[in-house]
Amino acid sequence: MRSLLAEESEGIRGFESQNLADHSQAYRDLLKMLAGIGYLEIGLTPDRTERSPYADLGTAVLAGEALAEVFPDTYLGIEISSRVVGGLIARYGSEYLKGRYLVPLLKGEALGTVALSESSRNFPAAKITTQAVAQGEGYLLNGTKKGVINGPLADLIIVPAQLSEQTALFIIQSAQDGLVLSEPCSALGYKRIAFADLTFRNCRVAKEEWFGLLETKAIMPELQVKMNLAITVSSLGVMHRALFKAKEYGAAAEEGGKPPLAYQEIRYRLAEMFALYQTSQLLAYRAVWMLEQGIAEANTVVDSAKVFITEAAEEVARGSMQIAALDGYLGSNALEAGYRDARFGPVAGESSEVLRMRIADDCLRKYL
Amino acid sequence: MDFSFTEEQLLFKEQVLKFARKEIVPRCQEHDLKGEFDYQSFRKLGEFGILGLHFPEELGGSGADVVTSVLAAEALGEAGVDGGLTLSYGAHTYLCADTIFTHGTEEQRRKYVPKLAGGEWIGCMGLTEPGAGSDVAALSTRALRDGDRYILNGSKMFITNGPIADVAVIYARTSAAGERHEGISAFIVEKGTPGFSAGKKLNKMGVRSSYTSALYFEDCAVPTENLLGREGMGFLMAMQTVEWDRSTLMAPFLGGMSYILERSCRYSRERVQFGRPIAEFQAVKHKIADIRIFLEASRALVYRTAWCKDQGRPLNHLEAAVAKLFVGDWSLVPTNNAVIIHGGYGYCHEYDVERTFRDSRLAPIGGGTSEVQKMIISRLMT
Repeated sequence: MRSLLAEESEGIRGFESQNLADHSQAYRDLLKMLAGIGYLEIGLTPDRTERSPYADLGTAVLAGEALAEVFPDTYLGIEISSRVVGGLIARYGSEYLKGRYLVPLLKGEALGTVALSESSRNFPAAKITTQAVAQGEGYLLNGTKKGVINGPLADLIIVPAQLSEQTALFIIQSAQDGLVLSEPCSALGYKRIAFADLTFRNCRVAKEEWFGLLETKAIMPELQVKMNLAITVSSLGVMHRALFKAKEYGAAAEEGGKPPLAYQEIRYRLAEMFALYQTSQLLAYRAVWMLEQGIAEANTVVDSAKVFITEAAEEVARGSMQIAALDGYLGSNALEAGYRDARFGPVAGESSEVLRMRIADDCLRKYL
Repeated sequence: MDFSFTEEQLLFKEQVLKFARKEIVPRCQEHDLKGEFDYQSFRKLGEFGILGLHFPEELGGSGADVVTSVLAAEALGEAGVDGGLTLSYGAHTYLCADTIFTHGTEEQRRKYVPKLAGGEWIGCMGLTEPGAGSDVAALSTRALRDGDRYILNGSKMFITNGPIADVAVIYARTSAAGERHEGISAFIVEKGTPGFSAGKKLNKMGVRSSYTSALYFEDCAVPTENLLGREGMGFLMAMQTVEWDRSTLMAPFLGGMSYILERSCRYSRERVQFGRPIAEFQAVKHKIADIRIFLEASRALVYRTAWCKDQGRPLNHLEAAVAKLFVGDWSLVPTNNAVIIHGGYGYCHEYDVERTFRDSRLAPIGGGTSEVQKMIISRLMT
């Protein structure tokens, strides 16, 4: 599947377009292709989701890496739609929700997202302020979500909101009255996905469009883990591209009458970048394996992987631009794009700072 | 890929932890500060079965797999055993005894491995020379065939356990023909062999309880039955020790990271500044987190190398070099963090994070420098 993904996804055009309709079409084409090769349903068939929220995650990560190596940003958008949104519906949704939303998601006919961040943007640190109140046969939602990935393109949006003293999950469709989308946010990198702020103004949700009273204390961390992991794998893709584009440049360009790779300093820099990349891969695999096995420390290892890998991606991207020198800095090229893309990982999902605090708290609890 | 451990493996790790904390650790600081090898602790490692863990029972071992050996070595570091003792153990078991076990004749195995496995004898390996460190194939110690013996002439440098070894595996050039690495052979040389002597113990920055010295060979006659494997196979044998170097020999560093993590957590809870434990300051928490992050990244690399060896997969030189480069270069970060968390106390001998800081400085140097690993990686990366 890895080679098929790499081949097929390279052929899809339109992501670079500034036109949202073209962009949306490219997304739909990619979703269709991914559905066709079975990518979207990895880990999401009923027998798998009943077993564990992290069933087949290893397979999903390996396949996802191949996609992320071609389109690190688009991979993230697709992963949120399939494994995060699809995973929630498959595991916790009613039969109605599965029939209405999961089937189109897995067929590549719909794109989903989950609106987590609010004004603090680092969602676990702050209490959710979006409110849901029961009214008649449904609920009314009010509040604002910030910088939602897939926001301008999504057909369905999962919205966590406060319902009395609990956090509840609701599904909103893109055409829903009371849902106001901002203009797509301008971003430093990750140009192939779209971000937007979403505002809910008395947005009405039918009773059947929510997940019921769930044990959200367990579900929200699960959601965080999946989001962080998707960002982590996306950073692996950024790293892979930067590393091998730099190697390509080092072999083909000419500096002082010989290719840059003829210089020991350049070769050593590449070696350091490769070591970071391979260490990142193995750490990601081990973290995912621990999640699949249900090992108690898995969440802390996933947090560690997110910090390490997203920051390693920045280091590798910086190294790749340095190797290409001004050729990497000037104009629009893969190394320059990679440098901008790499900045996303450490600030996205839960930031490196938030995760370091949680990792330290875990260690301090362990060694009381 | 499977990262799992069996219950037996985890139970054994726990046993090693308890044993080391009780029997070994109380003696470590004294030996480190004095720069003295701890014979008693070394023998205890032998009695407990650690020195010969992976050898078959009939040769005095326990028949353990590589992952178990890694966990045992990790447990020593986690308990707080100093890097000097774990280095001596690594050089003894994996660079000397295992080379005899892997490449020796049945007679050589029976003669040497049980004594080494039990700690009755101490072993070392002589590869590095004054003019052949990272460039192993440049070694110039000669072994000339003379009837039923070889005559060795030359010197070795930076040999762990050199001054105290009862038996040494020595690499020497038996032929000048062919490529540089083709004419190298390995020999077993026993202490007391005429013409074989060790230099003065070197005074080192870290791993101080491990003795390091030069070895000298002056018309040293070694019987032909002490040749290990075939003539000319020495370079390959030396390279095979790399598999152990990248797994079991690096495992104590992993354990050491766990140890300083624990010490740093406990200290930062106890130490009060500005009216609250320093563990409540974000800057301290971030340092603690970085120790843990490094530990998890290193575990992925070292466990993977051990697992591959247990699966019988040939060593992937690229992965091995990455493991050595990463653990070697980055191990300085967490040990430095631990010193900083401990403040002034971290700089003093009384708090042994200072020792782990000194010990970790060897990681990017010993067993192939980081620069050599970069050379290998840049050559092999696809």
